[in-house]
Amino acid sequence: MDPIIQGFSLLLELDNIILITLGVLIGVMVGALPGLSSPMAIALLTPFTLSLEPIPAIAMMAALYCAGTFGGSITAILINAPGAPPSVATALDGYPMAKRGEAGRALGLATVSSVCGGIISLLVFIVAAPTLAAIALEFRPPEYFALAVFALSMLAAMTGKSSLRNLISGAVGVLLATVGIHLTTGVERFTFDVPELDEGIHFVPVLIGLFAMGELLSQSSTLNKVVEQIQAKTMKLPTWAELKSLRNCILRSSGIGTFIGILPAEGSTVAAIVGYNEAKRFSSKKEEFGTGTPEGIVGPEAANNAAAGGAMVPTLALGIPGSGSTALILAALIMHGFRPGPYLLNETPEFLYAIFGAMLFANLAFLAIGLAGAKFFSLVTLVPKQLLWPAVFTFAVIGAYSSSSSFVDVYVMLIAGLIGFFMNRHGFGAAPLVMGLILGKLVEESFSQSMIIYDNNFLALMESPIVLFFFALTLVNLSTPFWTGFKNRKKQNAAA
Amino acid sequence: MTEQQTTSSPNHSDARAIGLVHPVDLVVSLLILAGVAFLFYETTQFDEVSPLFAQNIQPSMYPQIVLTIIALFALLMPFEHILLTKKGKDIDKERRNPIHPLTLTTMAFLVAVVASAQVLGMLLTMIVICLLMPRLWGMRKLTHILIFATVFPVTVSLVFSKLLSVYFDAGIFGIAL
Repeated sequence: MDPIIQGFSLLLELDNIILITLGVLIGVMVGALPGLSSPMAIALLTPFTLSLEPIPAIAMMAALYCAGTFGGSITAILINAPGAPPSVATALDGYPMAKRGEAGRALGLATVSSVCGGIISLLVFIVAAPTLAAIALEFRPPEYFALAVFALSMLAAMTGKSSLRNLISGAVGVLLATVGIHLTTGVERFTFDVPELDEGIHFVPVLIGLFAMGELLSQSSTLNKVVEQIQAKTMKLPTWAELKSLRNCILRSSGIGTFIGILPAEGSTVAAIVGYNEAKRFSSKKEEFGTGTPEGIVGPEAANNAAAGGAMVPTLALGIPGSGSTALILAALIMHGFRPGPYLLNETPEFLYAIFGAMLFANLAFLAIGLAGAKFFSLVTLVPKQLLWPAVFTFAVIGAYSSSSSFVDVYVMLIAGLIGFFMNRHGFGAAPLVMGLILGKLVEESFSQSMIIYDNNFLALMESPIVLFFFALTLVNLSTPFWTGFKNRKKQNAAA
Repeated sequence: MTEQQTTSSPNHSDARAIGLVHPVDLVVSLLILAGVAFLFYETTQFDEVSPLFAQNIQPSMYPQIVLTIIALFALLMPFEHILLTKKGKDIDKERRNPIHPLTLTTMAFLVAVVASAQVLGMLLTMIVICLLMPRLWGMRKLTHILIFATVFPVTVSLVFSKLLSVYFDAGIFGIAL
């Protein structure tokens, strides 16, 4: 019981409550604003949390992550512009419902299903994370290497335009992780005689550049977009009878979301789309989807919030990020001096309960925000982009600079931003690159140790059934895009 | 007015029109391969350590494996559009139109601001961003801009320097709060 009490007591301190509440408010606001995203907010927040104690810092980020997913639904419903990608599916039925004068009801359904999905996934998280961590304690370097390779291969299945480009991004991230002095031999690699690169590439400026500056440049071409705003007087909570009729849909979507969230690299967006499709598949009123049906709102909302909790399972238990946002949380953990993975949970179990408590708090706060603040958060979309993005740029410059009070980091941030813009233009995602950057060190360390164990005989790795299992999954992941392409072609041929 | 969204769905005729090799992807692929070649050459310049010390894994080995994987993926890129089109994905959606002139101007502005940040110091840099960027992006309400460019940087500077103890460089003019 001690770790539970310790974990929760950390959250009962006033300072920590304020920080988590701040995380929730920033998250909802960022989620509500089209263009701004949770990963971007976490990237911008990271340098300022480095001066905080690790647990409140990570708890604040976890709360922001949950809230960012929820915040997107407000604008998806009220202005048909999903503030965050996971809310794309919510807009399909949320906006039509709002348009016919039931905006309050749509917000209520989204809020309650988000809370349910979030809490269900957190219950899975609190059980699964320590269990998985206990299993992972048995892992040796070969198993870790296979797991990390499997996680990287998941990039092929990650949301985005192209599996191949996701894999290239991920590999570039892995390569970036090699910059600096090689720890085993002390040899400089890719430092180009720049002393600042000896320690490797700093996470913070790269993250800020890729997520904030890249998006800023993309936004500069969309300044003239005008959106119609539907006024929501108040949020209307669903009745008990309505909730009862939607119970199965919420539970199903929560399960789907949690499972998808646990898969490395998959995140809330995929969960929301699958949640929506499954809600439609099981519905007796399929034809009503797209016209403002309650199932079309609760399906994706329960799933995308459940994915947030699910994604924390591999992140904390294995040190393998479950999504783009959790990759950033993992980066923050590393910057705070932790080595994420099973040892973290076994040595500091109170950490797990503090994160659980923060995310639970965030989920419960959605009810209060939905009831009292939905109208306000929908108004933040009225802030002109001409003021919003200079503010983001200002924070980006300060964030990059303050991480080590060095202008070199500001230059790195800018270069990363320019590269991020062109990457995005050509279909390369920023999130896979960050995941590669985070996993790069783990892959190299475990690979080197495995080669030492097996005396440079790569095939000897296959002696371990766990390694074989992860390699088999890796092959499945890498072949899936080609397999689905083949399946689609067969379908098209049959249709023709 | 509802948000105007330009949707461009790919079709097989697009893929046929492009042919086997996607010209833009070919250029991107060649750029990646050039980068890989340069970095691979760099790995050959890494210091060698004794096999005993390196435990049979030279510092260049792992980056070379990763670079080889990137090169293999990059070689597939020019042909990927065939598969993507069949899956209904439009890889050219974002890049079909040329880069918006304002985006290019914004890039130049960002570079100029960041390049001058060390000279100006953090507070002046923030003021310059908040003063010039809204104008650059077409905001005409000068009063709003002036209020924003005064209140926002000063507030941010106070909060971060006083509350969070973040050190702000004062630049050559020595302006800081």
